[in-house]
Amino acid sequence: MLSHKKRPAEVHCDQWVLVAPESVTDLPGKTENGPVFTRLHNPRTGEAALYLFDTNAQQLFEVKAFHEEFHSWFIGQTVQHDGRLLLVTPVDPLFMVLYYLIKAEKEQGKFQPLDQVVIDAEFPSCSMLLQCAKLRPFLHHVTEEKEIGNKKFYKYSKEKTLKWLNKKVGQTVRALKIGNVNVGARVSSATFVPGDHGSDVKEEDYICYAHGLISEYIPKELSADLAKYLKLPELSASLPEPPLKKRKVSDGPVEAEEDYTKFNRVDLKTKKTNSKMTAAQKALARVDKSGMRSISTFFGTKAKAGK
Amino acid sequence: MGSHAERKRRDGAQPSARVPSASPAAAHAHRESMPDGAAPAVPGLIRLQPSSVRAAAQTPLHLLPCEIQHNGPAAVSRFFSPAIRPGSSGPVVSFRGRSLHGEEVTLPSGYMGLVLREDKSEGPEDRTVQAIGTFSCFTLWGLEAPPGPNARMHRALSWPSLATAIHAPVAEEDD
Repeated sequence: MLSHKKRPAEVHCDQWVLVAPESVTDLPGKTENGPVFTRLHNPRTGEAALYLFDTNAQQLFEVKAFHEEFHSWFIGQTVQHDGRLLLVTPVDPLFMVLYYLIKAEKEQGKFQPLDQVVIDAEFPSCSMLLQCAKLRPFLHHVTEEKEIGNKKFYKYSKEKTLKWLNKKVGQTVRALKIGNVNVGARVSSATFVPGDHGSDVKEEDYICYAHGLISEYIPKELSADLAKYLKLPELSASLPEPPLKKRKVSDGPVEAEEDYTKFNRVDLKTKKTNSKMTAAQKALARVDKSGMRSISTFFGTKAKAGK
Repeated sequence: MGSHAERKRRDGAQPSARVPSASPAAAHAHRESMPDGAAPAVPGLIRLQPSSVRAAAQTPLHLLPCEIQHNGPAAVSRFFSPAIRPGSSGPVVSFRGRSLHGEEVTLPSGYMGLVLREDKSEGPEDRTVQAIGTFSCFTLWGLEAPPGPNARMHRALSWPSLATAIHAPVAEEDD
């Protein structure tokens, strides 16, 4: 048998193992237009990331890759080199639109109809966000509204947004408690054992952790404002920050352990040199690693706690 | 208190688990790259074909703790599945001289697994992916030891419920 040493990125396959809500995959016989994958901006960085709209674009989902090094799949009677598990989870479309509202506020600073705010030549499918059922009824949480004639005009409101984000942090904290997520930044047991909280976990640890998770979906400036609003001690003290900063400076595959996006990064680097890349691989290569950060933050805790 | 770097090194110390490809030729069988120039009507959409999801059959999946440098057919039911035997903590199998310990992982409730493959026959202006298999559980294999409750996969699979909470609309109030 031949020994076949290849770099992972060179072994391509247009095949993915994906886990998605049944609401997305349950497609009755009459459904002709199924869900669509598309590239949208990551609301924190503005870079491309992979998203999914369900049938008729009623709901938005993000696609995150869970990847551990040295893993491959047996699928039926086949082998798939790519050992990633893609997770499709819901995203509040308000985070996505907030990004454009803030941009419009900086550029024009006036009341505008939403379809003039959510326009992006780089990500044309952003207009599909406007179809999301959970968008328009909730816009008032982040904007001032004016109605002239039958048309509604919106303007970003930082004050209202911070209030809204505060509620988001609150509901995230509740979920962290229910889920028994170990949020203690300096808990000595580096392992995650469901139901096994460090008894010294403070409310502030939960808020810090939730702030870190929410920060994955808002621009950095707003994240800093939110930290102040929440009266968090120091932004750098919030748990998920260090891995993010670290990830930023080291762009190589060095961090493979906690970086679920390693393959994308590698693809990105080989993009120009590998002429045999398919369109799908190119699309994936363009897909942002940072779009997959929040999950790595979530799962990064274990390593962080071990420091 | 294993540091990041240590953990990395430990993982890096596993390359012996890399398995040579059974058929290198198949790994080379890339498709020709699609020209990006031909702009689709709605650019960048990849449609999941509903009929393929309805037609897809339950497929057994195994996540192996080693990297196999190959994509394509593998005689899993001939050489791998029959070698699985019950162990004290769960299924055990010997794979390329290494002992693997398995654990059945069930997907979070309300979630479904799909194996998707991109269908290139229709050209870049109409990109589609087909579901070629479904799953509601898979076997997670650990190298020399069972994955156990601390396996990072378990945390990964707890992400959907947390994500749902983060992204739920906030409760309205009367202010």
